[in-house]
Amino acid sequence: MKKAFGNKLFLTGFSFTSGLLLMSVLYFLIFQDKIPTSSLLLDNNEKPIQPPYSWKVYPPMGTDNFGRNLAIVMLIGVKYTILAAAVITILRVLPSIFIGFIIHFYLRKIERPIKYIADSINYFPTTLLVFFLLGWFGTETLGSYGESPLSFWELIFFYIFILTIVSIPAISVLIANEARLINQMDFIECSRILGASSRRIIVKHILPTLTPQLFIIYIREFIQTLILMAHLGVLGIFMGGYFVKRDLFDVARVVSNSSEWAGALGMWWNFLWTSYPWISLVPIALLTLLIIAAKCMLDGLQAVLSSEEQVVKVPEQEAVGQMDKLEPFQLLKAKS
Amino acid sequence: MKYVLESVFRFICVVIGLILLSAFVGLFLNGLQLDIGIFVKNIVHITKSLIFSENLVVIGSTGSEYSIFINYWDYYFYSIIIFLAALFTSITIGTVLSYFTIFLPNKINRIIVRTASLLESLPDLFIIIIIQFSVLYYYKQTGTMLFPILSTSQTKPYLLPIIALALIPSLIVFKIILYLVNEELEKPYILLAKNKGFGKSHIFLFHVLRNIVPSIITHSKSVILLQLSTMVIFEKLFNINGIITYLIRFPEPNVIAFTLIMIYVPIFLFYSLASIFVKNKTGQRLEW
Repeated sequence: MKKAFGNKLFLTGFSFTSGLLLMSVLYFLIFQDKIPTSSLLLDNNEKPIQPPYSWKVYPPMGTDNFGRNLAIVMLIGVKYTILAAAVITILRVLPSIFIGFIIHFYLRKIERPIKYIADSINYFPTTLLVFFLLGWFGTETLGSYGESPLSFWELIFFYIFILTIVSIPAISVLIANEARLINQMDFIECSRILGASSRRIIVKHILPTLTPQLFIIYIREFIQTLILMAHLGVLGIFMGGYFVKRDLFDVARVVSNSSEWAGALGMWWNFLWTSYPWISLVPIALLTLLIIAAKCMLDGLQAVLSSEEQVVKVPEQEAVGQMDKLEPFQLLKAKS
Repeated sequence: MKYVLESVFRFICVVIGLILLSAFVGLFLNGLQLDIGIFVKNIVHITKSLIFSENLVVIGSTGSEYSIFINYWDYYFYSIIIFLAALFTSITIGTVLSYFTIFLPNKINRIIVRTASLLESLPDLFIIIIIQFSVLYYYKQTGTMLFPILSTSQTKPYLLPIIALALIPSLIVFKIILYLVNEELEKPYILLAKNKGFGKSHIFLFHVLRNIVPSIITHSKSVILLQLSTMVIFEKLFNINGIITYLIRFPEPNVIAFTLIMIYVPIFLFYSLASIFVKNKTGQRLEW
């Protein structure tokens, strides 16, 4: 794992993600998540302009239709996005390791039917499944824009819980497959002949061999979770619920409570059709950057892991290279 | 024969899984009712509806029940045509791109693989917003609409949704094929073919491609699952009146189960036929 930080690609992705998180948390600690609102701005003829203001009038990113500073709203939201995705991923992967091992080692007789039934969840599009499971606090079903009876933290808890359980079957099967591959290796056979029990083989041999794979699965699931959250945002399900606020035109608008990126994305998507499209472009561009940062970490980690496997081969190649450089009849140094 | 039996067994397992899932979803649709009795009732109801199709009814806006088959197949075929067309487009584009890439020198080849690997992680939403924004921007500048970007009750756009849905998957297919090809090119029989004087193009088309088809089929499953997930968001944002919009409008557990099984059927047929074909030709067993 230490070597991963030596990889440029991994380091870039990691510092981008953790930097964002750190800034967001610092903002929370220092300013208590206060969102600065722009006062009514005047144009050259001293006539007031209505918000939203573009990034030219109100740098760096302009404001939304309530005059809230977009950059600060995004900065406040990012800690919810990253932390929620990280927590969901951990909760998905850790139980899946146990379930995967149980499927492979103790339920081997019915491994195949279990895998086929778990496969069915793949054909239920995840976004649709989660939408149905969480629909009771989304904006689509509560067409009257009624307030949700649950509190902010309860809603976040439900959101994380549902997003976690929908993926556990698929990851469990994935880990069961990985365990099967490792279990077929020669060194497992050896230790089994020497009398090791299943438990000892799992703890002492399979887990250490699987750990690098787990990091890769972890980052991949992190990206999947971010994309799923963005999809849910578009379908009107925001983490931590929403409240209704009336804008300048006295139109009721839904505002996400946590203003995290995936929710903001869905909340502002329709600004694409108005004359201020930048509002909907900001969250999607930022979310894309975050996903690419995670992908950089993934690619960097994979490069490090595959180079570690080849470590044994490298000296041999170098030795051959040295031999090629020598003249045909050159004296070799005598070994002292 | 054993193979056919196993396919049927697999189909039944997936159907059972889908029924269980839909029954579970049913607990959440009318507020939260976590009750094992309702769960069992849902399972029985769904199974009954699948056997006797007159039970598949939805409640319309007037409050009266009517059978889903009045307009169900319109929605279904519109979605399925877009889905399958996008799938085949992405496989074709991926294959053609990798065919051209093998002629490039190794260094450029490696850069292309790395870029494709980064680009494939772009979220589908980003692609959609770029397409919609650029078509809209072009419209604002010139006043001509390149494509209908939203479907209405009169127009059913096919071209733009298929292209948009196929973009990211074709990058993924491209990356997978390129990886498999590079692995295949190091095998001894390629050296033999080169020494016999065959060109790169001939080797790729007649030897490599033929040998990696089983692996491509195995990997394409992840592409299908990705596209299925994207379809949901897609129908909403392009305002497509497809099967998933229908499900969101009429969320009944039995209609959900029926629709998901209908979506699974073409995928299942494709893989079963492909695995029988591959087994007869090469003797390899497809894991999918």
